[in-house]
Amino acid sequence: MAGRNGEALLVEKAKNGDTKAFEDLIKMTRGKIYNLGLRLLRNKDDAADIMQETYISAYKNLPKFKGNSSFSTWLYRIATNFALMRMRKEEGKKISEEQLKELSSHIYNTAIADWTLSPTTYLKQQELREIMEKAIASLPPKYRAVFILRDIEGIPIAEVSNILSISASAVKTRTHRSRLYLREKLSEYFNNSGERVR
Amino acid sequence: MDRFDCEDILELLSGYIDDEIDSVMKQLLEQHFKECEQCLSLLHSLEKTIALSKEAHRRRTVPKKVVNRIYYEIRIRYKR
Repeated sequence: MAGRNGEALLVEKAKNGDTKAFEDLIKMTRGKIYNLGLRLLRNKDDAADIMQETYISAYKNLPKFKGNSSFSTWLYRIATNFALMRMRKEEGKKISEEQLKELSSHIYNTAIADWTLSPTTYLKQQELREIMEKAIASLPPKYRAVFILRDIEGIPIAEVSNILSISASAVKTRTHRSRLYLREKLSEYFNNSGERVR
Repeated sequence: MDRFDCEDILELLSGYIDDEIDSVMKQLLEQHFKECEQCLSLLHSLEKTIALSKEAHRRRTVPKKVVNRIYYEIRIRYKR
């Protein structure tokens, strides 16, 4: 796989109309962009559409790409913006920002469960996987985007801040509130399903 | 600040998990975790929530026809 220099060279060639160089850039980044779309929109067709919109927009806007971030960070930004537009039109019940803010005081008024099994053991249960996906989908779009980029894709705080054009402190706050909310949803599941809690 | 209340801890947990707090704060938190089983359990459950989210979203392979469609679209739209 090409490093940053190889990537810069391909970008330069693509800017000069070399579609083959752009195809090489797609090969290097397609897994990241498709999976990001899949995680944000939970639907293969939507993920495929987002991927197409992202690369066509990237090709068209290549002259504006100055190389201040990596090419994949720039693509993440384009893809996330397209996905956010779709997510805002989604139907379905979402938790409000106010409820997310109030979680902190609620948590210390309820029993804290200590989950003792390993994550893989839990996720052998299809039901739990679905609960997790549904809970993430019920986050407001701007929280979901931060959580997925930060905790699922594992992108550093500064880069998420760059992708979403928000401050690092907003990334931290949204990540934290999303984590607390998802933890609450999992606690409800474990309590209701009679999983061992301490 | 030389000691924490449990509710102060809650706001610092993600910073602790992400290693985004300074070393003095980190030591104070770790001292609190030794004395407070409730906060330690909360930390563990939050770490497990993150691990479970990752585990629930395994990477998928991009379908070849999706990539080919993109190549095709770019070639016909931007043919020189």
